[in-house]
Amino acid sequence: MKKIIIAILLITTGFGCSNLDLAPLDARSELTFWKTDEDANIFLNSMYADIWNADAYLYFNALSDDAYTRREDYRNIGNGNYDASNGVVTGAWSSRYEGIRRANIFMNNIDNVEDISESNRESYKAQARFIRALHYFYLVELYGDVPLVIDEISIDESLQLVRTDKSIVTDFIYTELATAINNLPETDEPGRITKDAGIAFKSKVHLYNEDYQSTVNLAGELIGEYSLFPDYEGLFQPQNENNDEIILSLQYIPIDREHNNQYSLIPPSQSGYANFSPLQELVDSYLTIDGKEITDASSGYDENNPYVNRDPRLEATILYNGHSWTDFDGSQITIDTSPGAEPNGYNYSSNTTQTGYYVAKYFDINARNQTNSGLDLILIRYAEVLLNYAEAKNELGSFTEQDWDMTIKLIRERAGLIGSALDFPGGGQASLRTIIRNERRVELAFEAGHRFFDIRRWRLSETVNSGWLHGFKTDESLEDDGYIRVDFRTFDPAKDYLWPIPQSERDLNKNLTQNPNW
Amino acid sequence: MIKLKLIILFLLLGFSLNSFSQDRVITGTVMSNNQPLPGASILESDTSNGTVTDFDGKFQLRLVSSSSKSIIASYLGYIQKEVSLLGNVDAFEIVLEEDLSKLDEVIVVGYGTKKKVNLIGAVSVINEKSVKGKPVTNAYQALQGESPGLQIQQGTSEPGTLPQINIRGISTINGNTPLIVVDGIVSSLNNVNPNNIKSISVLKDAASASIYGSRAANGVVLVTTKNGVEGKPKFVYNGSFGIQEPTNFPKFVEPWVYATLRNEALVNSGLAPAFSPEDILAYKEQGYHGNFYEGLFKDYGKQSSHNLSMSGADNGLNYFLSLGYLNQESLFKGPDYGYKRYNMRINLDKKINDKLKAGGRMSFVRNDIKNHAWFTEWLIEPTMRIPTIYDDVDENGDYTLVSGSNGNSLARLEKGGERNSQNDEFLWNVSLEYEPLNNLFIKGVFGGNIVSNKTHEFRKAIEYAYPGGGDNQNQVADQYGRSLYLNPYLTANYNIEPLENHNLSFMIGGSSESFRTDFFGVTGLDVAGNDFGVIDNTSEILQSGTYGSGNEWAIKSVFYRIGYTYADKYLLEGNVRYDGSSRFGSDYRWGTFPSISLGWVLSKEKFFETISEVVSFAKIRASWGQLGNQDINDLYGYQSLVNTSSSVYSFGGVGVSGAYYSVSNQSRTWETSTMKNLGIDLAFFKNKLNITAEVFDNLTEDILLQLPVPATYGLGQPFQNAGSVRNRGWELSVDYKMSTGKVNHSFSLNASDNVNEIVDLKDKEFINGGDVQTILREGFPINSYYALRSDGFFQSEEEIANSATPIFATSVKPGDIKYVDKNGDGDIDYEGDRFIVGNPFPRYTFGFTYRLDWKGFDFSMLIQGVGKRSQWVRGEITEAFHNSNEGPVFPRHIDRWTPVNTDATYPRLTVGAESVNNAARSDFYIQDAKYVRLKNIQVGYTFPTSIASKVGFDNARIYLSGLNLITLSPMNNGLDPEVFGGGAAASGRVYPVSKVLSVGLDINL
Repeated sequence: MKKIIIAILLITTGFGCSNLDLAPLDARSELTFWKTDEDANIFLNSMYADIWNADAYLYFNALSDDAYTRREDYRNIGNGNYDASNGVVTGAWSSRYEGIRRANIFMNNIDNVEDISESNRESYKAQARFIRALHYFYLVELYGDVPLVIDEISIDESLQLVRTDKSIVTDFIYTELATAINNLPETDEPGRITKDAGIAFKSKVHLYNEDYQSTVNLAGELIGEYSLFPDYEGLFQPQNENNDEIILSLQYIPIDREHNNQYSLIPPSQSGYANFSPLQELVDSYLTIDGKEITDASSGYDENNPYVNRDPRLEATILYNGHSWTDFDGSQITIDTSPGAEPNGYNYSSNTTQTGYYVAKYFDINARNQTNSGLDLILIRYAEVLLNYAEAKNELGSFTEQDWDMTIKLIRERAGLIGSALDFPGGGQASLRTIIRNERRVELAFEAGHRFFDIRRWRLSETVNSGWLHGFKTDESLEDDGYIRVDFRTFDPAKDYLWPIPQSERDLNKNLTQNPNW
Repeated sequence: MIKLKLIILFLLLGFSLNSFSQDRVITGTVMSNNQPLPGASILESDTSNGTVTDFDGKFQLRLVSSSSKSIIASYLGYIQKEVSLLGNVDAFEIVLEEDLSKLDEVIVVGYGTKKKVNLIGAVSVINEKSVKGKPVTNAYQALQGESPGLQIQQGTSEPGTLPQINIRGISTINGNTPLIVVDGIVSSLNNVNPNNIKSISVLKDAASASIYGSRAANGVVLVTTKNGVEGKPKFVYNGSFGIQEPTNFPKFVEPWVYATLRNEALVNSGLAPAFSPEDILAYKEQGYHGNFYEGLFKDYGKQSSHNLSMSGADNGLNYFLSLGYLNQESLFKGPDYGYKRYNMRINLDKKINDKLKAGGRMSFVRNDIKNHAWFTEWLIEPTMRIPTIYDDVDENGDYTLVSGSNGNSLARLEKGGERNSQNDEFLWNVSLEYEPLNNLFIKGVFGGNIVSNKTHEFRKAIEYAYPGGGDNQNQVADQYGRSLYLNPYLTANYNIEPLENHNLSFMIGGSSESFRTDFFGVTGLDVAGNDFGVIDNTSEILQSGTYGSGNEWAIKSVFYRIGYTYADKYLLEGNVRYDGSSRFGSDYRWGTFPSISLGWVLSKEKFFETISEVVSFAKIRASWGQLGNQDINDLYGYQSLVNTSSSVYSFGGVGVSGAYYSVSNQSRTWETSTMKNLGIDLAFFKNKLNITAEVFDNLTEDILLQLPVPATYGLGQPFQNAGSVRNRGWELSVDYKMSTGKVNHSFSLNASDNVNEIVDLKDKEFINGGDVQTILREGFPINSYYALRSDGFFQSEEEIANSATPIFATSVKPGDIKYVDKNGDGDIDYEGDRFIVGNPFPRYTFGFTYRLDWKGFDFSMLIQGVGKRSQWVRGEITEAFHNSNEGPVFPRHIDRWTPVNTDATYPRLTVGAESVNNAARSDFYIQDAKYVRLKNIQVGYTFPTSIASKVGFDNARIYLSGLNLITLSPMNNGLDPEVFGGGAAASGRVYPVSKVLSVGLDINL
């Protein structure tokens, strides 16, 4: 009996031919990574993808008075109907910290790589520092004080984190960017974070923190080093990617890495679904072609023929009723957004515009299946540097005609404004501030959430993002002079200038305090 | 194919007719208790020639050997009788006596069989009868309602989809599917031909399942396929043909009603009305002209099956060969979508000598699924949203593009290409059993399966006559996956009876499981000409649709069993199993899982004799045991890995690769389920009435959970052994057989309940889902719904002013849903005001079967249902003008709140941002989804032998069978109450559940 049992056990052991130490067929162990330049390089590549995703790049603009979206999480932030469980509020937090983790992993391991040149090592590190600093920049802008994590922390450590004062995080950003700028590559490789990108970004961070002299100094280093692309409309077209105005763009390519923002922008007749509709408030902010506000009695603005004689950027940015358009097959058509008009009219169907406007900017006529595009999304361009410079100079009270000529005038000229629009308006700091801010709004419309962040730092949200925001004039209702009511915005300045810390984070970590009044 | 089958059948027929050669014909009747005994077998001694009695107990046997001296009559549960033929008498009346000792069924248990009387575990048996004649497309459906504690849910009848199966509820978050063992080899029920099933044992407690240790925490389903019976080859044909129709469709309102309510909603939302009174009048004249949703479906779909088998046993060789064919048409319009399955099976057992037996099982299954090239969910979604004022096809026959879609779902079905899947499954096992000493059996089995799945999809571009069509690019995708699963095992069984009435049994065994799968796929774009869609013809390969990899896992186990019985009265059994899994690191890999069970057969005691006339059998059983679970999807997560992927970013138009860390936990280990079971088996009135009742308490600890970690950790959630879940419940089954005159009745009822509770979650909570949110919270069932609680509708501005309203809704008006301010802070917000409001897992499941037979007619009926269940239904299937869409409006929205209809069942109609309050995630949208359903009804007639034999048949039966014929449920939104889960199901974006009506024919020869 015993013999038999032993025999069975032996055979059983023989049966156990299946090995229990199985390694994956498609992944390496962490222990064998970080050996070569290529390891470091591909790890760095994945960090670039964290900078912004195309979806947020577009929809953050709908949190401002520039656009309206039906997407609930965004819409509800825009109109003040949100809480600490809102998907965009939690998503922005977690995606930034994921990016920070990747950067921390990179910084902890890059020095262990043996098969790499020192110059590459330093260049990679500088790029990683830039990306990590960018994550923290957006975090402090959105949430104020946030945990400053610069190491590969354990789960237990993550459960104990406390919020770091915004000023300390900002100092960290400055230090990191300063270090990065010293080692960032000076290269023409499109998409690469360069030394100039570091300088431009740092100047923006100073601007946001009202350290205007630093903004001026840094932006000044770039003035004259770049040029504005001659055609504003063409600036956002695929054939002109990586032109001389671009300092840093989020890179996409057809098929293998594409975004489908176009689906939300173009009219249904072009296969679009209007999920992102420009508001009348933005349309009204475009000056006349000679630089007058439309409310100016002398502007010649005709409410019944509102799109003529306007800043040409209006036509390049917004697809309004009667806009002529090149169809995918190259034919010229006219977009009719008037109420009930088939197939693109307001209220014609649930995929038509909610405001009477579609978006012309970013149109990629070669988009795969009409909506999948490989178009790069610009993160930093020279015009922004000029606008940062102009704004900072004006805040310092030293904005001169010479400054005007080297900033706003160039931008307006390129845009196609004429006559008095190009002349230095003078009129003192306050009126120049209005002009510079409006210039920034129309020049950078729908790019990287600029307007959303700008009205927050200007403390304008409760003024401009409050009450009914409108679509075009249909006269279907007598209210608001016949402009359709689109979205009722509320903004509580005591609360909404900071997003709430996500509830899910505070549920796990009791050390995380909440922002005021949330 | 059908033609071929008929030819084979006729060939068989001819063969069978030719075999009549001898002259002497014996006739007779088999009786018991003055009742004819149908189905008894009659065998000519020393030959394999035999027959069975018909429903009158009559038989006719043509002898094949002139030297035969006797015939043998036998029937399960009766004492076999040999009748001499020497008297030159050719007509007999044979009376069989019930064999009370043999009445106990033999039940298949883990690595062996057991007499039912000796069983101590909680095992339910489903026999062939329960499966027979049901027009089902997979074996799971045939089991629904047949066994207490076995929950089968199928929320769609889309061809090729499979139901969900659970035993005694959900014990863990991971892998809740029971282990399915077919003829001793771990497998699945997906492709088992229901016609091949002989019996199914459902092992529910630790005592019965623990021998399967590592894989048994969710219970075990043991399937035994048919084999031959002693005698001449028996040919069986089963065929059926049926019609499928949806059980339920959402109803839409007429166009003019829609237009009226649309205007009302727009005005309520501060917007201008969209339809003029003239428009509405015109719609009224136009009347109802269908809806897009129903437009996707045909009125009915056909379904047919053909099965052919040959079986028998002689000279120690037992054989069963079978072919099967199933064809289920899809209800979707389009080019012949549907599901075809081809089954082939060979079962062989050979007794080589007194000590050696060999056996083999082989099954080959091919699934052919032809489907549209899109996703059902996204085909249905737009059709549900489009109001009935539109037509899917215009007067010119062109597909329309209306309201919220840049495609037309009907066009996608009819013109949008197809997806063809060919899935092959090959299963086998080869066994050898050796008896070196008396009562010592050593058995080695080598079994496994090979599964390969191939899918070819050609999604065609569709040119619409209307502008704005988005289906302009065609695409081809090929996918292939192949897996190999090996499961060899070796067992030794030894039984001794050292002293009289003391019986000891030992078993020891070892098993190994290994699985490897490899897969790859490629997607290409732009086939010129929109035809001949193969990868070769594409002009571009889509990198993100091109992949290939593989993975593997393995388990090793050793197990022991010791059993002791005293005089079949006191029963004791112990099991230990020792398992190692590749999913854990070497220090945490092995787990030991013991179990023990006790049984006492009261009816064998002396004191019982006084009542034995009434209570014929009584047994009490108790068991305790532990089982392990390791079934997590994350195969390698005990080590930190770096994955690379292509085109994560690009520089200057060139895609570049990236690298990502995986999240890991080195110390993760087995989940352990501790199961307690107490059962009682009672039989009354000579076993006419049988009752089995069980209570159980299962506690699963160290559940592998992806506990939420702060996002600041930045690396996602590793699996951690972090929770425990308890399932407590009861099961009852009652069977009763009786006869009134020549009519035999049988009734069986089974019912069960199970209460699920999360006992420990390390003080954490998980909230999952988007529009439908569930929570894991201590003290509540797994995945309970978590939502605001509604409290009627606001009736006045004043009431609103005095009540809490959602902080996320700027506009709340009379007629809007009022919510309960749980934390009393004066605001409604999700953080503070959500309640746990039910859960989707069924409770009080029951099945009731009634069977009757009378003179060749048979009737059976299965009623099945769920006594308590909630289903959260969201989206366009339930909300009017969901998510700012133009539609839909359903009849139940007509009773909406208006200032003159304040006693409404639906809130005031609104669109867009005005709907934020009413669209909040609340229990207003959680439906009561209990149901009772006439699952199956069958009426059959078996032709008398005298008629059947004239055409050469031993036996022939025709029948009518219906599936899902009548369903009663409070769920009123047009969905089948069995629809379960989140995602597509919770949004009603599923192919409907079908009812089937079929006719069938069974022929034995």
